[in-house]
Amino acid sequence: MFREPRCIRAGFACSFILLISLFGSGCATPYVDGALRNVSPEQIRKPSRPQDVQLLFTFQTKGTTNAKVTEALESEVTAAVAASGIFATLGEAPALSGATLHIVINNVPLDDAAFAKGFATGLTFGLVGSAVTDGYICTVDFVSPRGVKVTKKLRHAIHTTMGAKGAPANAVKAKSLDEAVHTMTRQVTTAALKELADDPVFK
Amino acid sequence: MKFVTIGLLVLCSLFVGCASQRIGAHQASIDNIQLLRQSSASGFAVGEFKPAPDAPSPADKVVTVRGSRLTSPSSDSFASYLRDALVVDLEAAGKYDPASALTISGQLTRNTLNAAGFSKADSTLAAKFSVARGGAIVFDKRIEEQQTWDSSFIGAVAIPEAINRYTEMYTKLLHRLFSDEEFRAATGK
Repeated sequence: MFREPRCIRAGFACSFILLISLFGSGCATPYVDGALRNVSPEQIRKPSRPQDVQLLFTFQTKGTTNAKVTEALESEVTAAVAASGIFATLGEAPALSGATLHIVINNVPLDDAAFAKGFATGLTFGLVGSAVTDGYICTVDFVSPRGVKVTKKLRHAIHTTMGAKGAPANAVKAKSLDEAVHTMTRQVTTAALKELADDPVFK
Repeated sequence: MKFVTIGLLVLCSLFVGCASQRIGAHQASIDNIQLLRQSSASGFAVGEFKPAPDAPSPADKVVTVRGSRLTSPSSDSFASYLRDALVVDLEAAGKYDPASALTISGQLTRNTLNAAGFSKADSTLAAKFSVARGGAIVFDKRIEEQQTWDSSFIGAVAIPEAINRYTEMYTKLLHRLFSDEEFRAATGK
């Protein structure tokens, strides 16, 4: 009887702290990693006779297809491939040439404790800052009209800081996570296409 | 007692989304495309897909993951979603032909997603596929896909993982169909 009010007060206090930590820690700042050299479409070597290609794109989260993100980034990838100038035409349907280009971007968390870190930052109202890094592995598989398969693989990363945490070294701040993901997608796709264009199969 | 109630409420706010969302549109799979291109059939039409008469009806409309309801973007029916997924794969492989004499139809017989556990989650998707050639049934078989994966106590981790895994079940079920020896024999020239 005597202890019940104290329990209730403690319960309310815990509830308050937890709920504030959930809703009050939204100050995440994304940064696009700067290790991958930024490639512009003009730097990509164009083949003498570009051919049409069937483009397939898949975004994965830890190796599992993420249909929602695939839909969201499909236009970014298509635009990057079109801007590269390596191919004459792009389409989801089979190309007359028989060539296929399959691009997979796999989001691999480099830090399994990301949730715990974010929770700790929220619980302390941002006083304990934290940073997490998401890795992205871009795999480009090209099958030429003659059936020759070429694979190029590149890595990129997005860093996210929360609370009182400084900016990571060699990274470019993005306005939003959405902008960071689109920038990462464009950069890693374009860089992988440059490597593809330099492959002897395009000579 | 009130303390326990408050604690439970806080836990609910942490781990239960109670949201409803549609799963993402099916993406053509390169593995399925390659399997279909190996088929000697020049093309397939796609007929009706519906829930099996003896299957529990809500399984065609909704599956749940820790209080979050997942629905289909294809006419609010997972049987229709399976049909659309089949059409997407056939189109990407250049094997979709609405005028073909070979017509694939199906009935969704099982559709489950269980991610309530703190360490493991699983899903089962099964359908009875039939292929008619000029009106005569040449293939009629139930095909099932089962997946188990490591889950998490944290809903914010477990729910997105379960949604991705569940959505990918359709790709894997169709892969089983396309690689089925009886299917390949029945649909070959």
